[in-house]
Amino acid sequence: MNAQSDMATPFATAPAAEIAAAVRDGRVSARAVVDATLARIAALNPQVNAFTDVTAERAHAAADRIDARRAAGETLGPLAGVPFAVKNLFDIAGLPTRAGSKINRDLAPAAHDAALVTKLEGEGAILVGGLNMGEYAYDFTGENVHDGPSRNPHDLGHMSGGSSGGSGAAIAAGLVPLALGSDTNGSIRVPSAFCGIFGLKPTYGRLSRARSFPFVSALDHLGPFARTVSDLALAYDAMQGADPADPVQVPRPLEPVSPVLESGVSDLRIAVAGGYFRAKGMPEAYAAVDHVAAALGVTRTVELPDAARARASAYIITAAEGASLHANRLRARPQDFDPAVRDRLIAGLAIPAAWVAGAQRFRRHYQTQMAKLFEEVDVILAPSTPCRAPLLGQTHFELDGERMLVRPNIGIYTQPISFIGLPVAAVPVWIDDGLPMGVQVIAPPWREDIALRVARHLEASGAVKAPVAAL
Amino acid sequence: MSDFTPPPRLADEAVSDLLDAGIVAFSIPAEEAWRKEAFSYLRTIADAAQFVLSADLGDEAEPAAVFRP
Repeated sequence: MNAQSDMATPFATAPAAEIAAAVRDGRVSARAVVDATLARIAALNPQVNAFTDVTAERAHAAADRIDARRAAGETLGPLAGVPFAVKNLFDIAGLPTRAGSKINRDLAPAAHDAALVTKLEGEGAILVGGLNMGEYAYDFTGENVHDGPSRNPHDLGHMSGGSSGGSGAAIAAGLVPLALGSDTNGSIRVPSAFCGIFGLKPTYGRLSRARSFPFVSALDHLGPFARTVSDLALAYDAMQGADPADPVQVPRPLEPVSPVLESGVSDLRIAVAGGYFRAKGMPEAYAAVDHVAAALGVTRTVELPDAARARASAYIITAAEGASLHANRLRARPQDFDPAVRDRLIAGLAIPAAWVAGAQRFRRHYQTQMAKLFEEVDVILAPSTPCRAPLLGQTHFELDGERMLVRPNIGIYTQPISFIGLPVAAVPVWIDDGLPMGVQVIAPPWREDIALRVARHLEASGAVKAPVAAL
Repeated sequence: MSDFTPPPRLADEAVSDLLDAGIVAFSIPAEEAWRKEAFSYLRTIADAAQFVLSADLGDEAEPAAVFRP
């Protein structure tokens, strides 16, 4: 590396806020940060397989623009010079939006970037590439038959989690400080847990999904991953704002959370989810929640009404909507699907409409019940996953003495939450020397600020953390 | 409300018929091996549906949750 890149090396694994401050102050150039990031990706991506596309030329051009603006005395944004990458279901101008599939590689290159990419770049962030994911986001493992699995940077023989596996792996490996993913049934929260990082699944309808490849419109969310809560908040704040191009996005005013992150938790009523969320898990899932509860001084337990039925409903809606979206591709190119995805989608085509309508009716009922619960508490804590990251290729595990399939059951604790779009900050917990676990910090609709305040309090107390993996 | 009757569990034969109808309706060139896997998924979905529909929501439940802005 040249002298300028050497200067940037410490920033290659720095938090986004630190990089942006250094770029704004002139302690490092955006170009040097990008060079260091690209060098780290080149060195480590062959191990973790997080990136499917590296947009080096574009990143250099963006970095040079930022450095020129600084030289001209312009004020730079809060994410100035911060490298980021996106799950490859986000449109990146000039690339086909593969969404983890073989089939989509034949699409024409995207004409424009996804809305959230544009938002982040508007605040100075620099896109460095697209990230590996489970095919068409129908996945909890991070495995991909076309691109190979993204690997868990904390133990390369284990799953990264899905479907935003590349996003989780890229953050945990220190390849970028910021990444974007999607979460339909848990695809931000599961990789956050398995890879030991922070993730934010905002309220359904909060952030624009425009120009991202869908999976289940009724349940799809987009959100950020990072190694610090402050970085999550910076990214989240940058991505808010009304966008008529997403028909389900709610045009709320900007509600920035960065200014309130350090507000503490003394005014919050926090409880642990009991019942459904204390069954079908490994002991470490409950230990992780207990660790967080102890750090917060929480002793109260609440029951989420009918969580099992909520998960069952999410399962039905997912299968039906996913199948509807892919029916033409199933007819035309069934051989080109990942078999595990294809066969589930074929099953989804056979679902009677009344089953889906029934699940949607229950969705409203469940939302009403949960709204009543949130009159009593402000935050609910629950495990993100029933286990640590399974081995790559592992097909079964034993939960509460019952042998179960891994792939559909990793999301048993996330599905009842995203089913009604509640905002969740996923926090990483290290209860011993083994792989990390994750805990969901669940807040009422539109109260991402509460979830992130709790996450920040836990981070500041040392109860949760997201270290760069030793690779 | 009082005359609510939960749906019974669908028999495997009925699930199989349902799957075949879906494959035909969408003209999916499904191979036998795929069909076998798809059946196991549809079996799980059918059980999930029976569970969901066993909740008596009455006649006034609006479909889907939409948060107020």
